[in-house]
Amino acid sequence: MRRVPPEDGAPTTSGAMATDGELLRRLAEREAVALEALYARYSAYVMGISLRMLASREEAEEVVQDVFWQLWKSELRYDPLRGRFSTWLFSVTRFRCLDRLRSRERELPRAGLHELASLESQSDQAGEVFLIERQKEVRAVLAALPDEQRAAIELAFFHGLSHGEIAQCTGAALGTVKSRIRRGLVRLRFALPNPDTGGGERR
Amino acid sequence: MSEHAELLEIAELYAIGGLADEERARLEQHLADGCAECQAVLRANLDVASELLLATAPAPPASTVREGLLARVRGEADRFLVLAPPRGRKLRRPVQQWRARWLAAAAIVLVLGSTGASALLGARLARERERSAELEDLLAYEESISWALVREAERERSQRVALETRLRGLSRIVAAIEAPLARSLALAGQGEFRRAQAKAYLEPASGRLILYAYDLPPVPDGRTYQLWVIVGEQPQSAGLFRSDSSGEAKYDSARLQDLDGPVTVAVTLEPAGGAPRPTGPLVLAGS
Repeated sequence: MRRVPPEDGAPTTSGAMATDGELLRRLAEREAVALEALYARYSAYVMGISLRMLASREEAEEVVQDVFWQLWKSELRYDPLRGRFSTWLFSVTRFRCLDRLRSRERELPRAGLHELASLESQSDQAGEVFLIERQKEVRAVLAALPDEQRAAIELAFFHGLSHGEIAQCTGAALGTVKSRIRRGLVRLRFALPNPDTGGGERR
Repeated sequence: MSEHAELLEIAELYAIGGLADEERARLEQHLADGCAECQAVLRANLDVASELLLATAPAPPASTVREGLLARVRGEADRFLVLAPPRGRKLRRPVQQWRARWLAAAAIVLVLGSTGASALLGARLARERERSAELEDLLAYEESISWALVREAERERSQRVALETRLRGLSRIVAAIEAPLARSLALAGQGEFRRAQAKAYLEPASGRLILYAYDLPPVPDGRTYQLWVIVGEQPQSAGLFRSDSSGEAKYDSARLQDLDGPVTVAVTLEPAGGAPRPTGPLVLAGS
């Protein structure tokens, strides 16, 4: 753990202790320091998501730079009413990666099963306190899903495969794929505590 | 399965992705029609899906990514700096600039020799030139605006100073008039000046006398109006003044003595420079 950020931070010059909201305000005023602070805070997560989805360091790093550059250029606009900044940023990252996956000439992955099994063994790294805690919960819940449900969700969500493609590469019927995803989601929804009531994260 | 049940299923799946285009289009239409139930399901699952992104392990990008990003940010800042002309420096004359640029361009084209490359380069130079011309125009325009603004600001400033001076004068007068012991005196026109009238305000504490006069003919050459304060028998000169073209005069005199007792205020027409005692015709008087 690097630091425990203040709940409602006073402005600082370095930005390391400022809240996301504070940093975003300063970013809107084109303070490069604020961009650096947000980058220090979240680039490893953006990279992690991109790497997992694209399986290419080079492309993942391009996504990281693009996402933060667009944040700087205000080409990406975060609306605080729609949830936490980190959640929004990670979703944006996923969509960037999906765009890249769609433009690829690609083979269908054989299965996402063992990849998912390796989730648990991935070591925790230094990061935002809140995110580390949340990460543990999400992984535990995902790990508790039946393999076929988890695989279907994984292939659709992280690999951008259509239900038809998932059916093809897992050998299941289309309807089965859909119901696996739906059942998996229902479990996740009940197992995951609501982040906005359960944990304290800054806006 | 009913239409709605089918759409509800699509709504559940939406957040995870993998829907066929046709399914997505149907759902979006259905949501646009305002189905609250599907909306709620969609929202809940979107929240869950965004949590799934946290399951991935963070991986720090190479330091070159950060450096590249910051270089882009700085590069942008530099471009902004180039756009802002240095203060007080004249722009180079565009004609000279074009000549220099075209010479450089011609030199490059000659060196390259290849017609394809020169054509490309030529097109690119033309574009650059056009862009530069736009920037030059913009700068010239900005500069003219800023000069106009500077002049405007100067005008505003001198007007403001004049108004402030006037305001200070007026507030002194108001203070005198409003002082607890201040009193006013009506002065009547005398003799050939019978149409003139005036009002005098006396404020004993500061010894101030303020005179407002109307319908006072302009003074002839070599003459002046002189204001007198008479306490007891002794006329005391309170200053010289003129009336303006509309026949009005305002005179503000300070440090007069004994204004708290019975006082007569008078105006006479005197030789330019004034007189130690009243000599000329009486213009206004009141007590």
